[in-house]
Amino acid sequence: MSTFSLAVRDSDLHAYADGVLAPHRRSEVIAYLAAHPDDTERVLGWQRQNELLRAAFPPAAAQLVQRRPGPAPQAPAPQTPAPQTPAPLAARTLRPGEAMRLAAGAGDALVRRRSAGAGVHAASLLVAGAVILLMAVQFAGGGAGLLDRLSPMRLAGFGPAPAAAVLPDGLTRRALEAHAVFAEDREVPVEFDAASTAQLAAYLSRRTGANVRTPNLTAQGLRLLGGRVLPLAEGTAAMLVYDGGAGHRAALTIARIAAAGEVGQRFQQAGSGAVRSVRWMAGDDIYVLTSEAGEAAILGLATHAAAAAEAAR
Amino acid sequence: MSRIAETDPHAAELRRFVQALAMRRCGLDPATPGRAEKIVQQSLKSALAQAPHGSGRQLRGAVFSAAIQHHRALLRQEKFETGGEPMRGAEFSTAVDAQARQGAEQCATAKALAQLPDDSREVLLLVVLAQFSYVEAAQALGLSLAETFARLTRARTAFAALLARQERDEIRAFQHQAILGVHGPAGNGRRPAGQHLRLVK
Repeated sequence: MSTFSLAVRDSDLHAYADGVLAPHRRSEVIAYLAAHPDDTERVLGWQRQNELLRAAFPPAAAQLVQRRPGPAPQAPAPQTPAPQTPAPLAARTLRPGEAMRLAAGAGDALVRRRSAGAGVHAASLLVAGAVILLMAVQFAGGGAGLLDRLSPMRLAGFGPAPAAAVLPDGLTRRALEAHAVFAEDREVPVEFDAASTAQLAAYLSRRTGANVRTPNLTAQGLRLLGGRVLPLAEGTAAMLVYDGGAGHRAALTIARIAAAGEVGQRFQQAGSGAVRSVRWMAGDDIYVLTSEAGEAAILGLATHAAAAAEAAR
Repeated sequence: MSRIAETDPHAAELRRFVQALAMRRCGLDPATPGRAEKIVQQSLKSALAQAPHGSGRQLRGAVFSAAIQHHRALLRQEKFETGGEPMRGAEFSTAVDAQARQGAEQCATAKALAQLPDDSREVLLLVVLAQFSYVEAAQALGLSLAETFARLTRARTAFAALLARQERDEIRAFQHQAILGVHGPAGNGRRPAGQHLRLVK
Protein backbone atom coordinates (compact mmCIF):
# COMPACT_ATOMS: atom_id res chain seq x y z
CA MET A 1 0.00 0.00 0.00
CA SER A 2 1.26 3.45 -0.85
CA THR A 3 2.29 5.81 1.90
CA PHE A 4 2.33 9.58 1.70
CA SER A 5 4.52 11.95 3.66
CA LEU A 6 1.51 14.05 4.56
CA ALA A 7 -2.06 12.99 4.45
CA VAL A 8 -3.82 14.20 1.35
CA ARG A 9 -6.79 16.20 2.48
CA ASP A 10 -9.80 17.60 0.72
CA SER A 11 -8.01 20.94 0.58
CA ASP A 12 -5.31 19.34 -1.59
CA LEU A 13 -7.92 17.85 -3.86
CA HIS A 14 -9.69 21.18 -4.22
CA ALA A 15 -6.38 22.84 -5.04
CA TYR A 16 -5.66 20.12 -7.59
CA ALA A 17 -9.07 20.57 -9.20
CA ASP A 18 -8.69 24.34 -9.29
CA GLY A 19 -5.14 24.25 -10.61
CA VAL A 20 -3.57 25.99 -7.64
CA LEU A 21 -1.89 23.08 -5.90
CA ALA A 22 1.53 23.90 -4.52
CA PRO A 23 4.23 22.34 -6.72
CA HIS A 24 5.80 20.40 -3.86
CA ARG A 25 2.52 18.56 -3.30
CA ARG A 26 1.95 17.61 -6.90
CA SER A 27 3.61 14.23 -6.98
CA GLU A 28 2.04 13.15 -3.70
CA VAL A 29 -1.44 14.11 -4.78
CA ILE A 30 -0.96 12.39 -8.13
CA ALA A 31 0.18 9.24 -6.37
CA TYR A 32 -2.72 9.50 -3.99
CA LEU A 33 -5.20 9.86 -6.81
CA ALA A 34 -3.69 6.92 -8.63
CA ALA A 35 -4.38 4.81 -5.57
CA HIS A 36 -7.85 6.23 -4.95
CA PRO A 37 -10.02 6.07 -8.05
CA ASP A 38 -13.06 7.31 -6.17
CA ASP A 39 -11.29 10.53 -5.30
CA THR A 40 -9.98 10.78 -8.85
CA GLU A 41 -13.50 10.64 -10.10
CA ARG A 42 -14.54 13.22 -7.54
CA VAL A 43 -11.78 15.61 -8.58
CA LEU A 44 -12.58 15.17 -12.26
CA GLY A 45 -16.18 15.96 -11.43
CA TRP A 46 -15.10 19.17 -9.71
CA GLN A 47 -13.04 20.15 -12.71
CA ARG A 48 -16.02 19.58 -14.91
CA GLN A 49 -18.14 21.72 -12.60
CA ASN A 50 -15.61 24.53 -13.00
CA GLU A 51 -15.83 24.22 -16.77
CA LEU A 52 -19.61 24.19 -16.77
CA LEU A 53 -19.90 27.19 -14.48
CA ARG A 54 -17.46 29.26 -16.50
CA ALA A 55 -19.23 28.27 -19.71
CA ALA A 56 -22.64 29.16 -18.29
CA PHE A 57 -21.42 32.55 -17.07
CA PRO A 58 -18.82 33.78 -19.53
CA PRO A 59 -17.00 36.99 -18.64
CA ALA A 60 -18.17 38.73 -21.80
CA ALA A 61 -21.77 38.55 -20.64
CA ALA A 62 -21.06 41.19 -18.06
CA GLN A 63 -20.14 43.64 -20.76
CA LEU A 64 -23.33 43.41 -22.79
CA VAL A 65 -24.70 46.66 -21.43
CA GLN A 66 -25.18 49.46 -23.89
CA ARG A 67 -24.92 53.00 -22.71
CA ARG A 68 -23.46 56.25 -23.77
CA PRO A 69 -20.48 57.95 -22.25
CA GLY A 70 -21.24 60.77 -19.89
CA PRO A 71 -19.83 64.25 -20.18
CA ALA A 72 -16.15 64.74 -19.55
CA PRO A 73 -15.24 65.63 -15.98
CA GLN A 74 -14.01 69.09 -15.16
CA ALA A 75 -10.76 68.00 -13.59
CA PRO A 76 -8.01 66.38 -15.68
CA ALA A 77 -8.84 62.73 -15.92
CA PRO A 78 -6.51 60.33 -14.15
CA GLN A 79 -5.38 57.11 -15.69
CA THR A 80 -7.35 54.04 -14.82
CA PRO A 81 -5.40 51.99 -12.28
CA ALA A 82 -4.08 48.63 -13.28
CA PRO A 83 -6.65 46.06 -12.20
CA GLN A 84 -5.46 43.52 -9.71
CA THR A 85 -5.97 40.26 -11.48
CA PRO A 86 -6.70 37.19 -9.43
CA ALA A 87 -4.14 34.48 -8.99
CA PRO A 88 -4.08 32.52 -12.23
CA LEU A 89 -5.96 29.29 -12.07
CA ALA A 90 -5.77 26.46 -14.50
CA ALA A 91 -5.59 27.82 -17.98
CA ARG A 92 -7.14 24.68 -19.25
CA THR A 93 -8.79 21.93 -17.34
CA LEU A 94 -8.69 18.31 -18.20
CA ARG A 95 -11.51 17.12 -20.36
CA PRO A 96 -12.36 13.50 -19.90
CA GLY A 97 -12.05 12.78 -23.60
CA GLU A 98 -8.56 14.19 -23.82
CA ALA A 99 -7.10 11.99 -21.17
CA MET A 100 -8.84 9.02 -22.65
CA ARG A 101 -7.47 9.68 -26.08
CA LEU A 102 -3.97 10.26 -24.81
CA ALA A 103 -3.76 7.38 -22.42
CA ALA A 104 -5.95 4.76 -23.90
CA GLY A 105 -6.38 5.83 -27.48
CA ALA A 106 -10.10 5.92 -27.12
CA GLY A 107 -12.26 8.12 -29.32
CA ASP A 108 -14.23 10.98 -27.99
CA ALA A 109 -17.63 9.69 -28.99
CA LEU A 110 -18.38 8.59 -25.46
CA VAL A 111 -17.89 12.04 -24.05
CA ARG A 112 -19.13 14.16 -26.93
CA ARG A 113 -22.31 14.87 -25.11
CA ARG A 114 -20.97 15.63 -21.68
CA SER A 115 -24.37 16.27 -20.28
CA ALA A 116 -25.32 12.65 -20.76
CA GLY A 117 -24.93 11.40 -17.23
CA ALA A 118 -24.14 7.83 -18.08
CA GLY A 119 -21.54 8.85 -20.65
CA VAL A 120 -19.82 11.16 -18.22
CA HIS A 121 -19.78 8.49 -15.59
CA ALA A 122 -18.16 6.06 -17.99
CA ALA A 123 -15.73 8.73 -19.12
CA SER A 124 -14.76 9.57 -15.57
CA LEU A 125 -14.06 5.96 -14.80
CA LEU A 126 -11.94 5.65 -17.90
CA VAL A 127 -10.04 8.82 -17.00
CA ALA A 128 -9.44 7.43 -13.56
CA GLY A 129 -8.03 4.38 -15.27
CA ALA A 130 -5.96 6.60 -17.52
CA VAL A 131 -4.44 8.39 -14.54
CA ILE A 132 -3.58 5.09 -12.92
CA LEU A 133 -2.09 3.87 -16.19
CA LEU A 134 0.05 6.99 -16.47
CA MET A 135 1.20 6.60 -12.91
CA ALA A 136 1.99 2.95 -13.45
CA VAL A 137 4.13 3.78 -16.46
CA GLN A 138 5.91 6.50 -14.55
CA PHE A 139 6.55 4.43 -11.49
CA ALA A 140 7.69 1.47 -13.53
CA GLY A 141 10.52 3.60 -14.77
CA GLY A 142 9.67 2.95 -18.36
CA GLY A 143 8.38 6.39 -19.06
CA ALA A 144 10.75 8.92 -17.60
CA GLY A 145 9.33 12.30 -18.35
CA LEU A 146 6.19 10.84 -19.79
CA LEU A 147 4.16 12.06 -16.90
CA ASP A 148 5.50 15.53 -17.37
CA ARG A 149 4.31 15.53 -20.93
CA LEU A 150 1.03 13.70 -20.59
CA SER A 151 -0.06 14.04 -17.02
CA PRO A 152 -3.39 15.57 -16.13
CA MET A 153 -1.37 18.14 -14.22
CA ARG A 154 0.12 19.41 -17.42
CA LEU A 155 -3.19 19.27 -19.22
CA ALA A 156 -4.85 21.00 -16.34
CA GLY A 157 -2.49 23.92 -16.58
CA PHE A 158 -0.21 23.11 -13.68
CA GLY A 159 3.40 24.09 -13.65
CA PRO A 160 4.60 27.63 -14.27
CA ALA A 161 1.80 30.12 -14.38
CA PRO A 162 0.97 31.33 -17.87
CA ALA A 163 2.49 34.67 -18.68
CA ALA A 164 0.17 37.62 -18.44
CA ALA A 165 -0.67 39.88 -21.35
CA VAL A 166 2.64 41.69 -21.12
CA LEU A 167 4.32 39.27 -23.49
CA PRO A 168 5.70 40.87 -26.67
CA ASP A 169 2.52 40.53 -28.63
CA GLY A 170 0.07 40.44 -25.75
CA LEU A 171 -1.96 43.35 -27.03
CA THR A 172 -2.19 41.83 -30.50
CA ARG A 173 -3.43 38.58 -29.06
CA ARG A 174 -5.97 40.43 -26.94
CA ALA A 175 -7.08 42.44 -29.98
CA LEU A 176 -7.61 39.27 -32.02
CA GLU A 177 -9.61 37.70 -29.21
CA ALA A 178 -11.68 40.84 -28.79
CA HIS A 179 -12.29 40.96 -32.53
CA ALA A 180 -13.73 37.45 -32.45
CA VAL A 181 -15.84 38.11 -29.36
CA PHE A 182 -17.05 41.65 -29.91
CA ALA A 183 -16.43 42.93 -33.42
CA GLU A 184 -18.11 39.88 -34.95
CA ASP A 185 -21.08 40.23 -32.64
CA ARG A 186 -24.12 41.13 -34.75
CA GLU A 187 -26.17 42.36 -31.80
CA VAL A 188 -23.98 44.31 -29.38
CA PRO A 189 -20.55 44.84 -30.92
CA VAL A 190 -19.89 48.05 -28.96
CA GLU A 191 -20.65 49.55 -25.59
CA PHE A 192 -20.89 53.09 -26.87
CA ASP A 193 -22.18 54.11 -30.24
CA ALA A 194 -20.49 56.59 -32.54
CA ALA A 195 -23.18 59.28 -32.31
CA SER A 196 -20.54 61.65 -30.99
CA THR A 197 -17.05 60.62 -32.00
CA ALA A 198 -15.49 63.42 -29.96
CA GLN A 199 -17.29 62.27 -26.82
CA LEU A 200 -16.42 58.68 -27.58
CA ALA A 201 -12.73 59.50 -28.04
CA ALA A 202 -12.68 61.59 -24.88
CA TYR A 203 -14.27 58.83 -22.84
CA LEU A 204 -11.99 56.10 -24.17
CA SER A 205 -8.94 58.33 -23.63
CA ARG A 206 -10.05 58.92 -20.09
CA ARG A 207 -10.54 55.23 -19.38
CA THR A 208 -7.39 53.96 -21.05
CA GLY A 209 -4.91 56.76 -20.58
CA ALA A 210 -4.18 56.56 -24.31
CA ASN A 211 -4.63 59.43 -26.71
CA VAL A 212 -7.53 57.78 -28.49
CA ARG A 213 -8.58 59.13 -31.86
CA THR A 214 -11.39 57.83 -34.04
CA PRO A 215 -9.99 57.57 -37.58
CA ASN A 216 -12.54 58.21 -40.30
CA LEU A 217 -12.37 55.26 -42.70
CA THR A 218 -15.51 55.88 -44.70
CA ALA A 219 -13.38 56.38 -47.80
CA GLN A 220 -12.21 52.79 -47.28
CA GLY A 221 -15.81 51.64 -46.97
CA LEU A 222 -15.76 51.28 -43.19
CA ARG A 223 -18.33 52.97 -40.99
CA LEU A 224 -17.50 53.53 -37.32
CA LEU A 225 -20.04 51.73 -35.13
CA GLY A 226 -18.64 52.78 -31.77
CA GLY A 227 -16.23 51.53 -29.15
CA ARG A 228 -15.69 49.80 -25.86
CA VAL A 229 -13.10 49.43 -23.14
CA LEU A 230 -11.13 46.18 -23.03
CA PRO A 231 -9.47 44.90 -19.87
CA LEU A 232 -5.81 43.99 -20.14
CA ALA A 233 -3.69 42.20 -17.58
CA GLU A 234 -2.27 45.61 -16.68
CA GLY A 235 -4.59 48.44 -17.52
CA THR A 236 -7.17 48.87 -20.22
CA ALA A 237 -7.37 49.32 -23.98
CA ALA A 238 -9.86 51.04 -26.25
CA MET A 239 -11.53 49.18 -29.07
CA LEU A 240 -13.23 50.84 -32.02
CA VAL A 241 -15.41 48.71 -34.27
CA TYR A 242 -16.04 49.48 -37.93
CA ASP A 243 -18.62 47.94 -40.21
CA GLY A 244 -17.83 47.40 -43.85
CA GLY A 245 -21.14 45.89 -44.89
CA ALA A 246 -21.69 42.38 -46.19
CA GLY A 247 -20.69 41.01 -42.81
CA HIS A 248 -17.23 42.50 -42.84
CA ARG A 249 -16.02 44.07 -39.62
CA ALA A 250 -12.75 45.71 -38.69
CA ALA A 251 -11.57 46.78 -35.26
CA LEU A 252 -8.94 49.13 -33.99
CA THR A 253 -7.52 48.44 -30.54
CA ILE A 254 -5.55 51.21 -28.88
CA ALA A 255 -3.51 51.10 -25.68
CA ARG A 256 -0.89 53.19 -23.98
CA ILE A 257 2.50 51.48 -24.10
CA ALA A 258 2.65 51.12 -20.33
CA ALA A 259 -0.62 49.21 -20.39
CA ALA A 260 0.26 47.19 -23.46
CA GLY A 261 3.65 46.43 -21.97
CA GLU A 262 5.41 46.24 -25.27
CA VAL A 263 7.20 48.19 -27.93
CA GLY A 264 6.17 47.16 -31.39
CA GLN A 265 7.61 47.53 -34.83
CA ARG A 266 5.85 49.72 -37.30
CA PHE A 267 3.22 47.84 -39.27
CA GLN A 268 3.94 44.43 -37.93
CA GLN A 269 1.52 41.81 -39.19
CA ALA A 270 0.30 38.90 -37.13
CA GLY A 271 -2.60 36.53 -36.78
CA SER A 272 -3.55 33.37 -38.49
CA GLY A 273 -6.77 32.08 -39.88
CA ALA A 274 -9.47 34.40 -41.09
CA VAL A 275 -8.64 37.44 -38.96
CA ARG A 276 -5.34 39.25 -39.47
CA SER A 277 -3.83 42.09 -37.53
CA VAL A 278 -1.47 44.95 -38.18
CA ARG A 279 0.15 46.78 -35.31
CA TRP A 280 1.86 50.14 -35.27
CA MET A 281 2.86 52.84 -32.86
CA ALA A 282 1.76 56.44 -32.78
CA GLY A 283 3.34 58.57 -30.10
CA ASP A 284 3.05 56.69 -26.84
CA ASP A 285 0.20 54.53 -28.04
CA ILE A 286 0.00 51.21 -29.82
CA TYR A 287 -2.66 50.62 -32.44
CA VAL A 288 -3.74 47.16 -33.55
CA LEU A 289 -6.01 46.86 -36.56
CA THR A 290 -7.84 43.55 -36.94
CA SER A 291 -9.79 42.54 -39.99
CA GLU A 292 -10.57 39.65 -42.28
CA ALA A 293 -9.05 41.55 -45.19
CA GLY A 294 -6.17 39.97 -47.06
CA GLU A 295 -2.52 40.73 -46.34
CA ALA A 296 -2.17 43.58 -48.80
CA ALA A 297 -5.61 44.99 -48.11
CA ILE A 298 -5.18 45.14 -44.34
CA LEU A 299 -1.79 46.79 -44.72
CA GLY A 300 -3.34 49.44 -46.93
CA LEU A 301 -6.16 49.85 -44.46
CA ALA A 302 -3.68 50.24 -41.61
CA THR A 303 -1.81 52.91 -43.55
CA HIS A 304 -5.02 54.88 -44.02
CA ALA A 305 -6.02 54.38 -40.39
CA ALA A 306 -2.63 55.54 -39.15
CA ALA A 307 -2.77 58.60 -41.36
CA ALA A 308 -6.34 59.38 -40.33
CA ALA A 309 -5.49 58.97 -36.65
CA GLU A 310 -2.48 61.22 -37.07
CA ALA A 311 -4.59 63.82 -38.86
CA ALA A 312 -7.09 63.74 -36.01
CA ARG A 313 -4.43 64.60 -33.41
CA MET B 1 -8.41 59.69 -8.68
CA SER B 2 -11.90 59.13 -7.35
CA ARG B 3 -12.37 56.07 -5.18
CA ILE B 4 -15.29 54.92 -7.29
CA ALA B 5 -12.96 54.83 -10.28
CA GLU B 6 -10.73 52.46 -8.34
CA THR B 7 -13.52 49.94 -8.02
CA ASP B 8 -14.43 50.19 -11.68
CA PRO B 9 -12.09 47.41 -12.88
CA HIS B 10 -13.95 45.03 -10.57
CA ALA B 11 -17.41 45.94 -11.85
CA ALA B 12 -17.51 43.53 -14.80
CA GLU B 13 -16.43 40.47 -12.85
CA LEU B 14 -18.61 41.51 -9.92
CA ARG B 15 -21.60 41.80 -12.24
CA ARG B 16 -20.97 38.30 -13.55
CA PHE B 17 -20.65 37.00 -9.99
CA VAL B 18 -23.84 38.68 -8.79
CA GLN B 19 -25.81 37.46 -11.78
CA ALA B 20 -24.80 33.89 -11.01
CA LEU B 21 -25.35 34.32 -7.28
CA ALA B 22 -28.79 35.88 -7.57
CA MET B 23 -30.13 33.71 -10.35
CA ARG B 24 -32.97 31.31 -9.66
CA ARG B 25 -33.69 29.27 -12.70
CA CYS B 26 -32.76 29.08 -16.33
CA GLY B 27 -34.64 30.95 -18.96
CA LEU B 28 -37.89 31.23 -17.03
CA ASP B 29 -37.68 34.28 -14.84
CA PRO B 30 -38.48 37.71 -16.21
CA ALA B 31 -35.35 39.63 -17.01
CA THR B 32 -34.96 42.42 -14.51
CA PRO B 33 -31.26 43.18 -14.69
CA GLY B 34 -31.81 46.41 -12.78
CA ARG B 35 -32.08 44.49 -9.53
CA ALA B 36 -28.74 42.75 -9.98
CA GLU B 37 -27.24 46.02 -11.07
CA LYS B 38 -28.51 47.60 -7.88
CA ILE B 39 -26.60 45.02 -5.83
CA VAL B 40 -23.50 45.71 -7.90
CA GLN B 41 -23.69 49.45 -7.41
CA GLN B 42 -24.45 49.16 -3.70
CA SER B 43 -21.51 46.79 -3.31
CA LEU B 44 -19.10 49.11 -5.06
CA LYS B 45 -20.13 51.99 -2.86
CA SER B 46 -20.19 50.15 0.44
CA ALA B 47 -16.86 48.47 -0.32
CA LEU B 48 -15.27 51.90 -0.28
CA ALA B 49 -16.84 52.55 3.09
CA GLN B 50 -15.66 49.20 4.47
CA ALA B 51 -12.14 49.50 3.13
CA PRO B 52 -11.53 53.25 2.96
CA HIS B 53 -7.81 52.83 2.53
CA GLY B 54 -7.87 49.59 0.63
CA SER B 55 -6.58 49.11 -2.84
CA GLY B 56 -5.99 46.32 -5.30
CA ARG B 57 -6.84 42.86 -4.06
CA GLN B 58 -7.98 44.17 -0.70
CA LEU B 59 -10.52 46.42 -2.37
CA ARG B 60 -11.60 43.59 -4.64
CA GLY B 61 -12.20 41.38 -1.61
CA ALA B 62 -14.22 44.12 0.04
CA VAL B 63 -16.33 44.61 -3.10
CA PHE B 64 -17.25 40.92 -3.38
CA SER B 65 -17.81 40.60 0.34
CA ALA B 66 -20.17 43.56 0.18
CA ALA B 67 -22.03 41.94 -2.72
CA ILE B 68 -22.58 38.81 -0.64
CA GLN B 69 -23.88 40.87 2.25
CA HIS B 70 -26.21 42.88 0.02
CA HIS B 71 -27.53 39.72 -1.58
CA ARG B 72 -28.18 38.13 1.80
CA ALA B 73 -29.96 41.28 2.97
CA LEU B 74 -32.10 41.21 -0.15
CA LEU B 75 -33.07 37.60 0.48
CA ARG B 76 -34.00 38.42 4.07
CA GLN B 77 -36.07 41.39 2.94
CA GLU B 78 -37.92 39.37 0.33
CA LYS B 79 -38.56 36.60 2.79
CA PHE B 80 -40.02 39.14 5.19
CA GLU B 81 -42.14 40.76 2.48
CA THR B 82 -43.47 37.55 0.99
CA GLY B 83 -43.75 35.76 4.30
CA GLY B 84 -42.35 32.62 2.77
CA GLU B 85 -39.53 31.49 0.62
CA PRO B 86 -37.41 34.32 -0.69
CA MET B 87 -37.69 35.22 -4.33
CA ARG B 88 -34.15 34.12 -4.77
CA GLY B 89 -32.68 35.89 -7.70
CA ALA B 90 -35.88 36.71 -9.49
CA GLU B 91 -33.78 38.62 -11.92
CA PHE B 92 -31.86 36.68 -14.45
CA SER B 93 -30.09 39.14 -16.61
CA THR B 94 -30.94 39.14 -20.24
CA ALA B 95 -27.34 38.59 -21.16
CA VAL B 96 -26.80 35.58 -18.96
CA ASP B 97 -30.22 34.22 -19.81
CA ALA B 98 -29.42 34.37 -23.49
CA GLN B 99 -26.08 32.74 -22.90
CA ALA B 100 -27.59 30.05 -20.73
CA ARG B 101 -30.30 29.24 -23.20
CA GLN B 102 -27.75 28.54 -25.89
CA GLY B 103 -27.43 24.98 -24.72
CA ALA B 104 -29.20 22.52 -22.53
CA GLU B 105 -25.94 21.83 -20.75
CA GLN B 106 -25.54 25.45 -19.70
CA CYS B 107 -29.20 25.57 -18.79
CA ALA B 108 -28.79 22.47 -16.65
CA THR B 109 -25.81 24.10 -14.96
CA ALA B 110 -27.79 27.25 -14.23
CA LYS B 111 -30.73 25.28 -12.89
CA ALA B 112 -28.52 23.14 -10.69
CA LEU B 113 -26.72 26.21 -9.40
CA ALA B 114 -30.00 27.90 -8.61
CA GLN B 115 -31.02 24.97 -6.41
CA LEU B 116 -27.80 25.04 -4.43
CA PRO B 117 -28.11 26.50 -0.90
CA ASP B 118 -27.03 30.13 -0.74
CA ASP B 119 -23.98 29.54 1.44
CA SER B 120 -22.78 26.80 -0.91
CA ARG B 121 -23.33 28.97 -3.94
CA GLU B 122 -21.38 31.82 -2.41
CA VAL B 123 -18.24 29.83 -1.77
CA LEU B 124 -18.42 27.96 -5.07
CA LEU B 125 -18.82 31.11 -7.12
CA LEU B 126 -16.13 32.97 -5.21
CA VAL B 127 -13.61 30.21 -5.92
CA VAL B 128 -14.65 29.23 -9.45
CA LEU B 129 -16.07 32.35 -11.08
CA ALA B 130 -14.38 35.16 -9.16
CA GLN B 131 -11.22 33.05 -8.81
CA PHE B 132 -10.59 34.07 -5.25
CA SER B 133 -7.85 32.20 -3.43
CA TYR B 134 -9.12 30.05 -0.60
CA VAL B 135 -7.78 32.53 1.94
CA GLU B 136 -9.50 35.42 0.18
CA ALA B 137 -12.75 33.46 -0.02
CA ALA B 138 -12.53 32.72 3.71
CA GLN B 139 -12.04 36.41 4.43
CA ALA B 140 -14.90 37.45 2.18
CA LEU B 141 -17.23 34.96 3.87
CA GLY B 142 -15.99 35.60 7.39
CA LEU B 143 -15.01 31.96 7.87
CA SER B 144 -11.91 30.11 8.93
CA LEU B 145 -9.94 28.37 6.21
CA ALA B 146 -11.02 24.95 7.49
CA GLU B 147 -14.67 26.01 7.46
CA THR B 148 -14.25 27.35 3.96
CA PHE B 149 -12.86 24.06 2.68
CA ALA B 150 -15.60 22.14 4.45
CA ARG B 151 -18.23 24.38 2.89
CA LEU B 152 -16.58 24.07 -0.51
CA THR B 153 -16.61 20.29 -0.25
CA ARG B 154 -20.28 20.35 0.68
CA ALA B 155 -21.01 22.75 -2.16
CA ARG B 156 -19.24 20.67 -4.78
CA THR B 157 -20.76 17.43 -3.57
CA ALA B 158 -24.25 18.93 -3.60
CA PHE B 159 -23.66 20.60 -6.95
CA ALA B 160 -22.53 17.29 -8.45
CA ALA B 161 -25.72 15.62 -7.29
CA LEU B 162 -27.87 18.48 -8.56
CA LEU B 163 -26.08 18.49 -11.89
CA ALA B 164 -26.55 14.75 -12.30
CA ARG B 165 -30.24 15.05 -11.48
CA GLN B 166 -30.65 18.02 -13.78
CA GLU B 167 -28.91 16.18 -16.59
CA ARG B 168 -31.10 13.13 -16.09
CA ASP B 169 -34.13 15.40 -16.29
CA GLU B 170 -32.81 17.01 -19.45
CA ILE B 171 -32.22 13.63 -21.05
CA ARG B 172 -35.65 12.44 -19.98
CA ALA B 173 -37.23 15.58 -21.38
CA PHE B 174 -35.28 15.18 -24.58
CA GLN B 175 -36.43 11.57 -24.94
CA HIS B 176 -39.98 12.61 -24.17
CA GLN B 177 -39.86 15.30 -26.81
CA ALA B 178 -38.32 12.88 -29.25
CA ILE B 179 -41.12 10.39 -28.73
CA LEU B 180 -43.74 13.09 -29.14
CA GLY B 181 -41.94 14.59 -32.07
CA VAL B 182 -41.57 17.91 -30.34
CA HIS B 183 -38.31 19.64 -31.08
CA GLY B 184 -37.63 22.38 -28.60
CA PRO B 185 -39.78 25.35 -27.72
CA ALA B 186 -40.41 26.13 -31.36
CA GLY B 187 -41.73 22.64 -32.04
CA ASN B 188 -45.24 22.40 -33.40
CA GLY B 189 -46.00 19.09 -31.80
CA ARG B 190 -45.85 17.21 -35.05
CA ARG B 191 -43.13 14.88 -36.11
CA PRO B 192 -41.27 16.32 -39.08
CA ALA B 193 -41.97 14.53 -42.29
CA GLY B 194 -39.38 11.97 -43.17
CA GLN B 195 -37.83 11.84 -39.69
CA HIS B 196 -38.53 9.03 -37.29
CA LEU B 197 -36.97 8.59 -33.90
CA ARG B 198 -36.78 5.16 -32.44
CA LEU B 199 -35.74 4.25 -28.95
CA VAL B 200 -33.14 1.51 -29.01
CA LYS B 201 -32.86 -0.68 -25.94
